Amino acid sequence: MAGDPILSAGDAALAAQRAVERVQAAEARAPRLVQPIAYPLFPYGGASAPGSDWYIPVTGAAFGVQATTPWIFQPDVLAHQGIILQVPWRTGAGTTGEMRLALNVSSPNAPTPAVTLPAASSGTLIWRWLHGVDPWTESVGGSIEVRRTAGANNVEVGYPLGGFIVTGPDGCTTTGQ
Amino acid sequence: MSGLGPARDERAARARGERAVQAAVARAPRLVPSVPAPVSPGSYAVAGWWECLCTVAAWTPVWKSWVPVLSHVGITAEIGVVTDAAADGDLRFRITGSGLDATTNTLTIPGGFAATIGLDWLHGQEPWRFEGVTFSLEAYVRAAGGGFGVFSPYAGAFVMNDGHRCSATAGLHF
Repeated sequence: MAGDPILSAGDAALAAQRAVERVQAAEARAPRLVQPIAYPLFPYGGASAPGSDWYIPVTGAAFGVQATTPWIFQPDVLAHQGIILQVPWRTGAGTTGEMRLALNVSSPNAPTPAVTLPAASSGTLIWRWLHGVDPWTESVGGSIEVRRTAGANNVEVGYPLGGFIVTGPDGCTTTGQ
Repeated sequence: MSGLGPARDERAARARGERAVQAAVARAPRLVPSVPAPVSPGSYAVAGWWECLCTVAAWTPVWKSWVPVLSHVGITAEIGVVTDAAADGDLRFRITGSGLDATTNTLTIPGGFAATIGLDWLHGQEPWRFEGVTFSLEAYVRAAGGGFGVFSPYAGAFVMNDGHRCSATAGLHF
């Protein structure tokens, strides 16, 4: 007999539903390739605006105020579980500092532990932070916070290489280090 | 009732359902979302309108960026370049990472140039293979008798994409 047999509407709907379920099951077995998303950051505070090399000086001693928040990011929805930030920094003679990341959400998330920045040095601090916020929480912003812990010169924070990146949890930890 | 055995009915319906799903997938547009990689200055300070003034007679990064994973086959950008009459040099784009070092063609910029150049490059690397990849737009200044200025890419980013309209051999072009 040529052609498809005549089916009831119920049979066809059931078969189509099963086909869709098989496609979904195949997708579920596919490798979890999480596409990272990069966002720009914006200068927020520090002792002054970014210099020509995109470094912002900080001299404040207390975390959590604008003067010690050189760069902010506003992804709104984080979308992924991890955050990557590569933050260039440098310190003046006899001047030490600390850096941490913070997210502000409706229920404030605890910031990362602070990392010490030694005196008269420079480098790039790489954060891979499993931030712990529900990835689809809305109205999320965040900040790079830096404070001076000793000395009279600047602690300077450059524009993060590659921007502010949200990504999968692989390689990320709750401390960011 | 169809008049045929229920098992045969179901097999046929299942096959039709699968064909319908496959046809729908085949008809769907192949839209690969582009991913921007925001730039920061390379080895030169930024002046004025996000312009880096190049001065070095060696391949030196002007603008650079970084991605956690090289997830696309193409990279694009539009970049403003200006040179004084007495200044000229070359530009190239480079991707580096663990086990990875690839560059585009070299684009020679004459003196007295003021226009936008394009980056539309099929880099030839397998997507998702390389992690921690740095993008660098590099300059080699042969005659620094004046300004050799390279502006930040439009939108402040190099953009990874599906390679549409990209070239493997002429990735950097006028």
